Amino acid sequence: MIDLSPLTLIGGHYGSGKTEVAVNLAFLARKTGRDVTLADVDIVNPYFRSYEQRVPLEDAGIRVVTGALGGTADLPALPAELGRLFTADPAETAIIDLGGDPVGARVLARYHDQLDDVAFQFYLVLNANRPETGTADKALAMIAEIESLSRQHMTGIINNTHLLDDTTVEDVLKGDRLAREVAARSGIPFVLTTVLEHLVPVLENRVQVPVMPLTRRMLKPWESNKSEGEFEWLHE
Amino acid sequence: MSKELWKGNEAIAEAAIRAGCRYFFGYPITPQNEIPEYMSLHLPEAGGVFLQAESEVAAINMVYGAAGSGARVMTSSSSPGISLKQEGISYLAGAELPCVIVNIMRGGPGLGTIQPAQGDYFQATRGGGNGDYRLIVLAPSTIQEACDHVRDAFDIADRYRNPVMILADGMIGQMMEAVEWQPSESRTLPEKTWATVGTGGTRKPNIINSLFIDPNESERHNAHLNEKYDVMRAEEVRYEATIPDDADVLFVAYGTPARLAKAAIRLLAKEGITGGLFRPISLWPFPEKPLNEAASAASVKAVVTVEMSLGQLVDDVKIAVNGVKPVSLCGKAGGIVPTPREVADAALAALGRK
Repeated sequence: MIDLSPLTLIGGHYGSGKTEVAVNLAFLARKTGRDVTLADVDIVNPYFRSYEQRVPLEDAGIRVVTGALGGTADLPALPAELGRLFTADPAETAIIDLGGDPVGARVLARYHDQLDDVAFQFYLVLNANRPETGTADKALAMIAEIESLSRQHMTGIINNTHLLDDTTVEDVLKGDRLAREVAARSGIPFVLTTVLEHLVPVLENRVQVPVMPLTRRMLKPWESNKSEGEFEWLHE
Repeated sequence: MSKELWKGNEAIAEAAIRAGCRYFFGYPITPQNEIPEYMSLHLPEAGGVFLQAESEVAAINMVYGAAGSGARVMTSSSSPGISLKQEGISYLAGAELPCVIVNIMRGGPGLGTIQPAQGDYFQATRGGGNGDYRLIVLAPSTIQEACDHVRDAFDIADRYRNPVMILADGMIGQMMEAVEWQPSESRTLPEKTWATVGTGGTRKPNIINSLFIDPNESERHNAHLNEKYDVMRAEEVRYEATIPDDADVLFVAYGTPARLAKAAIRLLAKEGITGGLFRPISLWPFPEKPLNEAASAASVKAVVTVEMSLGQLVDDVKIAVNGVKPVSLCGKAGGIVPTPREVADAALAALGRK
């Protein structure tokens, strides 16, 4: 469905759904039997980050790595073991969930020497319903800034256009049009569409790229019945 | 207009620009940084001025200056930063200057933590600064409501010549929700004849001041302010009451805990217990009378206050309920959000079922 090995970097505008995509990709990769590590390297934002999902991730056999104080502080500190992941060991899949915006992707600049020597995928998660990336011009500007601060080129675009529970097929198709235009103008291939499971059949034959079903895991406190590890979704 | 996906903090900033805010002074602190970040990029595009001050104290005094010249001005911070602004807030209230202050609350006391909390309820509603003054305090529980509150806050501030505070926990600032931008109602607001914009040689200079050396004059000023606060008490009360006729338990909560209470009500319904929610939206003026009436309903056996603090909102709830029903507290502080199950269990305990 999507190239996940051995090193996958997930970036984009904050609020685009990077973390939801990264966490879901980790579960997907693990299901194929691979040795998977998810690294939460968001040094900008202490809320709604992949490290919050460490219990279900670890229960599924996925290794979880994060920065200082378990990711509860907005400290610009990176764990030493992160360096190992950037060696792109072919025996495993490492998914790096970057912080939002160019400033979040800046972390990669620290590892550019290593990244220059290995193959990796660097995906942009794109949500057309986010006002700061709602047009091709704005999305292209975001890509240019991310590439500049991270010192790396992005290799694929993931359309993750949604409005949380209000998402309709029209939202996804709007994102599809945007992603195609951004791909055409940037030369970065449009590789995947991610949607909530119930929209997958509705999208059949309506988009050209593979469609990956997402399980919503980054829930708000009132959407989840248990504090950690269980996902009984309490619809509002 | 179509819906867009906005983060609470950036939506608050955009709402302020749409409301005509043209000056923003602030200093970074988590979890509200997206407000100044957004303002720094987009306020100049709207012809406004963004300035990162050297401290929160400087920022609130810049607000004083801009408000004195009649401009629409806002500052934002999070709990410890709002503590630093208290002197300026008291001066703004004393000098009768309109402005909007946003507090995206984090855990305290002191430097605390950067996770969400509601420990600044007393500070916001009782006055963290000195003297007899009041802030109108609005507490959104959705991003849409946060946008609407910011829009209204500038008008309310201008109407009363008084600071208005938006009080939200870090979860409201940090989460994403769909927003639909609504055109604001056009209201007739008093002309700012008091602003220091130059006399043009045709009138006496306006003076912005909160110093009254003559105690008689100071007493008259306090009486004048209090008359104004009485009008606010009469006209600015806001709340949401979602209370079935057969409610066994009445939750009282604002912000994130109100969302948790709604989830708890759905859990309790599966267990055969009917819950209702009374959500104060204006924390000052507090909706005292409507809450008393809601708690007085015959079916209601217990009132449960849910707050991300350890007994602040519950004081106002007790004053309002005034003994007609037992009031208990379901509180957590320090950055931990209670779960819907914990809130439901607090109701079961209050009803003597657990």
